[in-house]
Amino acid sequence: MADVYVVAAFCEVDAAADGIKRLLAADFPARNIDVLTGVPYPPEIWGLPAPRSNIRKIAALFFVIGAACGFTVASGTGWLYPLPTGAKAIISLPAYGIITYEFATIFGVFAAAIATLLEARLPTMKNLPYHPRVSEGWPTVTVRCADSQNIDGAESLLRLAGAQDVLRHAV
Amino acid sequence: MGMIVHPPELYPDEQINQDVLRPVFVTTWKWWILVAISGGGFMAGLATWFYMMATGMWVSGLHRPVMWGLFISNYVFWIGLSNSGTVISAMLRLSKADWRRPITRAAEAMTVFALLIAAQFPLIHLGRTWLFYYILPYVNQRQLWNNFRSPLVWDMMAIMAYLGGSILYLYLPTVPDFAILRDHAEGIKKKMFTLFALGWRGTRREWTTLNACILSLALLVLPVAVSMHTIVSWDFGMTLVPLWHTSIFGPYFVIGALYSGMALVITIILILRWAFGWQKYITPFHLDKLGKIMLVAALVWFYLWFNDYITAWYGKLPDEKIIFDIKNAGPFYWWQMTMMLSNTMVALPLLAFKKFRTSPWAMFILTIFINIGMWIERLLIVVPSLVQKGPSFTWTTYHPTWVEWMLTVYPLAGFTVLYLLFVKVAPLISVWEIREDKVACATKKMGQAELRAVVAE
Amino acid sequence: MADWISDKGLQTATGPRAAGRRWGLVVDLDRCTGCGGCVIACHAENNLALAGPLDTDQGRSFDWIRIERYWDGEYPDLKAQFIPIMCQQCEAAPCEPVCPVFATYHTAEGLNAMVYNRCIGTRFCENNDPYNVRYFNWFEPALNWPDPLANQLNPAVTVRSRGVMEKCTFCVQRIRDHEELARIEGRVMKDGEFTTACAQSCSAKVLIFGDLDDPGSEVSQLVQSDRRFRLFESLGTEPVVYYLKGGQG
Repeated sequence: MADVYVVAAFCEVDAAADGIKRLLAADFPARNIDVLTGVPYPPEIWGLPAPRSNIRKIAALFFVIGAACGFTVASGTGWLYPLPTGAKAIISLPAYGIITYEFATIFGVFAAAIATLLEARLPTMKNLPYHPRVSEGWPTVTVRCADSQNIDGAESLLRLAGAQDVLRHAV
Repeated sequence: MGMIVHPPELYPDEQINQDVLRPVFVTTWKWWILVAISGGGFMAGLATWFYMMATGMWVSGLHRPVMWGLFISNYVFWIGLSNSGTVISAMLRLSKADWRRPITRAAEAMTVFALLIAAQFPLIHLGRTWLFYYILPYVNQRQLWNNFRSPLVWDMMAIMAYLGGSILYLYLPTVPDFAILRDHAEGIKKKMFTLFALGWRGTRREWTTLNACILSLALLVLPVAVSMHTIVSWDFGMTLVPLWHTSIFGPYFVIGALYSGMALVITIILILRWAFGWQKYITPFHLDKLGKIMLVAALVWFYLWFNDYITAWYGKLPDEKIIFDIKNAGPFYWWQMTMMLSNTMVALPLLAFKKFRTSPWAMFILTIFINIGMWIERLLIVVPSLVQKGPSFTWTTYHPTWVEWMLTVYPLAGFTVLYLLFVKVAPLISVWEIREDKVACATKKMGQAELRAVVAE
Repeated sequence: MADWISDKGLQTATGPRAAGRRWGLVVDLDRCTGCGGCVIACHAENNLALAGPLDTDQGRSFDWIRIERYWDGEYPDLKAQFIPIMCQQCEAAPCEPVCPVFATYHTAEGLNAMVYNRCIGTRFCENNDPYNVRYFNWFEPALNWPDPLANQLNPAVTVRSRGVMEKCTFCVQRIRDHEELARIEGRVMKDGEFTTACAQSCSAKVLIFGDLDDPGSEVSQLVQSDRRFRLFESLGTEPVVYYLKGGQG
């Protein structure tokens, strides 16, 4: 049988965190548990290993790549087709410094955006668990379960913790 | 001390959704009338532009040696207006100022639209607009490239960097709000918001990534905003034209842009406040804070202006004195006086009073006058230096024609229509961010007072 | 390579260049009567569009060479001074580097070239031109030659279209003609074998055109004169148009 997500909407953050605690205590692996929220809560409140982001490093890396590209484009095109203008050197360092910087920023900005989409796995067309109450501020715990016994167990644990509404979402 | 003026007064989430999302779903006849008026102005401006393209630049008042006139001063003005949105949002985000939340979205949108409008002026003023792409570094079989030594190419690169950064900086933080809209919308709007929301669900990974992304973008975009306004100033500073050729133009343009942009941010949030009944979200507290930032900008602007003024006044270099005189005693005298009156003599003392800063009507009127003053300032930078440059045999005067005045109204109409359309696409107060504020802030009783407490990361 | 990143760039001011020539013009102001013959010759040679009195008044005329008139002294002791001003073909031309599309650049023989096809009309070059000698095509030029006049257009010179800049070329079409002629005849170009339209038509012999790098040429001799000066020399634009003034007259 296919995997099923148990989707439990809570109206309290503390209750949702308690539900996760119960799931972990019942040996549900942390990687199968997630929380959907309408607000970015500090990640440590859930007691789950916090996801890490490499966006800053990627943006910095592409900033450097962009700088190299910028300088190459500015000086390379000047060098390929050297047209002297007004006693300015063909490779005019101060002018090309500006181009270098602007290219670096363009690369950095777009790399940050694209990396964000990749890292957050967006946009997605997949059929993933969701609860419409998330956008009204209800923290919602999702657990991925492989067999029916687990599904029932997870649901009862979450209800015990105070879940207001529990759905089952087959993948 | 002690009074908590700053929202939100712990509204329930449903209330926030209702208050902030209503303008997206509910369209009133007033909105249609505004769209009709500004859309009409926009179309008329567009028609004027095409008329000029079809007939030739002679329909403008430009002539030798006044090669740049109202088109370029409008350009500098709108570039300046575009400054403050992304800048103020990025500054406040990076400094973790909690009061930023209700104003960031409206400000960021302002940047994007003002920039889209401003970027048209270099095209409007081209003699052969249809060949504008020559300025882009594109690969072609003739191996012709653009001239990276030209300030106009720096300008083009800076606008692309800032526009790209600002659009992403507006769009990505709006994705969670599009998810909220998707959950509330029906029919075609649901389809549209589903597309915009990219399948956002609000997982921990999504939030962590988004926050990291917003911070990276803020860090990248803030200096690029400074670079863009500096480069616009270099369009003038790199020349040999008297009173253009000055190194103070860089910081002077940046601070002038911050000044006029802050004024527009305040004008816009006040209009939103009245139009949508957001008095609980956009409060005198925000006006006070923004007013203080504007006061600092006004002081620095005047300081740099005075530096520029006194250098020319004392130095009396012959070429510069000619231009200095027509600005300060000649035909441009009254323009100069109007600018100083609205931007310094009136604005500075008034902004110093908290009572003034927290009064919506007073701030609304003042910010409009500041922007009129800043528009004049741009005119005074561009035109006087050109009318009497070079051999005195070629000196002239400049009288804009109806075409140039139409294309001065055009950006205002265009900006308004873009903004009005945006109201129907996204909530102008970031819903998730004010909810975040609610999560992060609480009131704490201490002695006899209830004080505001913030959860720090 | 060191040349390329040095302050002065590849082919500037002094020193031998690929073409081995450096065109220059000498204007002897002491001889100028202000007759305007050079202006007419330039119009005829270079297909300058006619502007009419109204547009001329509005600063939209085309005068690649123009005669500026200044008054000297106090009434009734007035004296008219004439100075023909054309593109100074500066060695360090401020108009060149500001063009975003290389529509104007410096050729190997020291000419400030204008590429009409490439021009998109930012008009930045005229802003940064201290002499105001660049002219913008505000109108569709075809409309500016009343019927028979269109038949006298010089086939060797491009008719510029609306929206582009133009300026004095030192009659580059004549330079190319004689270059070709000399090549066919297997000889080097002689000094004075041709001259620009303005110089050719100047009855007072005010304008003398030639190669500044040829020590035997007439212009090279004339620029040694202690009457010489260049316009706005303090701007550092290094014009190759030399003016002579200070004699009796």
